[in-house]
Amino acid sequence: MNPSGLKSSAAIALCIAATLVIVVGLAATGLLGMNRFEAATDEISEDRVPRLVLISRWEISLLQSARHTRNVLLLDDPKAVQDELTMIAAERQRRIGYMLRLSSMESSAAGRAKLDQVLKAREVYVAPEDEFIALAQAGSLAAAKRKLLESTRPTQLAYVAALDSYLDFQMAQIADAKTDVFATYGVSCERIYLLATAAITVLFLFALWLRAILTQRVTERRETEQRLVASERLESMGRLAAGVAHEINTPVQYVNDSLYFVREGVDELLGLMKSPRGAQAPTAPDTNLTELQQQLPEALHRADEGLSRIAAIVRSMKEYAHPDDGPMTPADINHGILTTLTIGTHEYKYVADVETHLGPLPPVMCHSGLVNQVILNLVINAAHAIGDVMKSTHRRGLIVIRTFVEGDQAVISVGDNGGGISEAIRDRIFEPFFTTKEVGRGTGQGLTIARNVVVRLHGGTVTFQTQPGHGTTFFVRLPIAGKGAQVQAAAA
Amino acid sequence: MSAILLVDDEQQILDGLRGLLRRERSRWQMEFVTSGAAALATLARQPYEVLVTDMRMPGMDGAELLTRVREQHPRMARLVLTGQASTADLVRALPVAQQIIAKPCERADLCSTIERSLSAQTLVPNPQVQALVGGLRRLPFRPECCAALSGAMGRRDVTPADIARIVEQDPALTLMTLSMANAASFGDSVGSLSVQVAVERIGFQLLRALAQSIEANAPPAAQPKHPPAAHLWTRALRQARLARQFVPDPALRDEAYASALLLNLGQIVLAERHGAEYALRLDELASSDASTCEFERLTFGYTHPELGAYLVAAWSLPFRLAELIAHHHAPAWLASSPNPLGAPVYAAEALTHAMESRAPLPLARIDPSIRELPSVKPSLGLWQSLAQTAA
Repeated sequence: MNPSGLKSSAAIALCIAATLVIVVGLAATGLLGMNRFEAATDEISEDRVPRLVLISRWEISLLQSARHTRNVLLLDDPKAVQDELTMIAAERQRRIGYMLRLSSMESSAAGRAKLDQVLKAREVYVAPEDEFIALAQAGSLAAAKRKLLESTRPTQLAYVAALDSYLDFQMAQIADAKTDVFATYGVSCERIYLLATAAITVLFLFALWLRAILTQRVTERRETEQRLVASERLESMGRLAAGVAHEINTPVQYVNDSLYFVREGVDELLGLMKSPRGAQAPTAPDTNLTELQQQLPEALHRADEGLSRIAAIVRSMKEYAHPDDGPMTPADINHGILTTLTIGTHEYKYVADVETHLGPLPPVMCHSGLVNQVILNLVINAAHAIGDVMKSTHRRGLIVIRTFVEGDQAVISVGDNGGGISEAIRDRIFEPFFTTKEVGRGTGQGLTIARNVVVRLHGGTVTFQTQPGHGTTFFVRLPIAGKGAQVQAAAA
Repeated sequence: MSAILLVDDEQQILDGLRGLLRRERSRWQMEFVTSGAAALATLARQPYEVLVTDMRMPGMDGAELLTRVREQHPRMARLVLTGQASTADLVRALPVAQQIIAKPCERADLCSTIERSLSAQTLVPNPQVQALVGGLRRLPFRPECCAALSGAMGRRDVTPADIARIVEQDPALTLMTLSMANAASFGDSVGSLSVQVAVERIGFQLLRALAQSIEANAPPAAQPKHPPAAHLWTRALRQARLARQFVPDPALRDEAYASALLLNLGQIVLAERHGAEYALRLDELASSDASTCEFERLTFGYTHPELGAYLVAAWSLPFRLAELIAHHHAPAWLASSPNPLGAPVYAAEALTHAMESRAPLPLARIDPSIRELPSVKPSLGLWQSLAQTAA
């Protein structure tokens, strides 16, 4: 794993760990906060509110009791009065239940004091009520009514006032508890907000970091890829340049040498001409007129021939390296093949002869520079295949290049009588970087590039026939009308 | 008259060369053939001193021809004249060629390269030395330096200075690098002996080829844990550093370093060839200069100064360095030589030996003829203290 990979996986691990810590922290704080919140609300709902309810019911019961008492005042029928009295007694029983439950629930001193006040007020209220009930039950309804009118009214009011005060106290308690709840809630919310903000910030920073690392990796990978493509292009250009340089260096060497000789020879001849006619003292002791006479024209001829050779190579180079950034243009494939063979002479001339059978081809819509490169790659592969066999046989091989038309396609075939492609690797030869050649002889990109150029850019095909021990022939088929035209035709 | 054989598959090239070298016919007997097989046939008939061959030829190519010539005619100087400089070709050529000249080349460069090969044979006429050096399948490279070089060449951010630091730890690598940098291919052969300059001059493609050729030629067996030349390498480095310090002129320091480093290359070749026994014997004899050479002459028939000088000259390093190495046990010659580096390099070697054997009077190891030189006498005290500091 490369350093940046290490870095990014460390970042991912860190990020996950940090996220976990934050989630656990949030959950813990949240739970703690919720616990306190819940406890506070529980206090209200299970403690304060029931008391409030009991007190309210107590007061309602008291008011009910007051209603029944008023009814007694208004009624004259002893039977009805008796019913009302039963109701009053029942209400009192009910209130005693409330009282007992409240006194068991009330734990705080303040609450107990309030309850005691209520109980005192009750004592005051209960005594005349008892007398009234006794009188009524005894049948002296008028006396009972009088007693009632005399005494119950103010005590009842005091009783209600005490209850109200108790109720208010409970309400105040609830309000306090509510404040407490909201305070607790607020604090835990604040904490949660803080934590969440922190978490989001941290995650955001992590995300930024990760993004930076990933971007860097992507950039690095893209750069590596670009470098690979560039180096491949450079290598193929460099290889070609080296080859072409070799092709040019050779004639340059003998053109130079010949011209040097011509200069020397001419100097000697001029020296001879200056010296008195017929003198036997030539300027250079080894000047041999016969030799010069024979060799000077030869040297000039050699220089001339070398210069035309250089010119031909340079011309081919220019044609071969046709720029391909524009649209496809109609090109003479046969001419391209001949140019390419001139350029690539050094790739095959030591191992094989090349035979061309170029049939009549219409102009083919293509990127001619790229097609030339494909042809060169196939020729180089053929030369290498022959070279491998030649190591043992020492016999020169033959590369045969044919072109012909097949339907709406132009076909270029490049065949060799090398060793063929073994069954085992037939499926792999188009894979990038797949090569059987030793280091320094091939990058394994030639056929991949060939296929990319032919199939992707031109909508053509690359196929091959091979027979182990007898050789391989590659077929490149290019749609004559170009890629777009074929697609349109298919659509129509 | 020296005999020179030129091989190229292009008749035109040969005709051109024939015209180019026409004036040399008075001193060189030249033969031009168009194939490796024809070259071997010609060589079988008559001995030649120098072979100049093309690399890419149909049938037997240059590298193969050179390899066969190395086996069959090791005394012949082997030069390559090539228009092809692909790394793969260089990797094959470097181990067998003593000098690579690029086409197109000027008449003067071609002639001077041939002359240097011939002068090596004149300087060290001993046929045994010529055969031994010419037949070497591999220079005695220091394994750890080769590994470091390969490693460095694989790095993307490597600088020439990094490479130079590795190369100058190994006499054989230094010899190859300086030789390549002094090749006529670089036009003006200034005869610089600075490793850093050499590395910059030859560039990474050639260095990579060099590293690859060394790897490809690595000895098959595992290296012994203590190579016989181990302490010779250490000593060479020590005396090289000392020599650099002994020379006040900055322009000459690199040359002083290279000279002292390559001074005992012959010993390293012998140690690799004859193993630990030779190294042991050397240590016993280390007390006296004369006896080392005497011992070598009696045992092998030649001495390490001859061997070193021939190596350096055959690989086209400047003749003044070959002369210095040939005479580094001849203080009287050094004292009268115009080469200003003779005395300091000699003193660096003597003082390194003295420090190794803990001699009580280190300066006594320096021959009086050197000690009394007016250019040396005032520096002796400084040199001794430098040597003591280094030890």
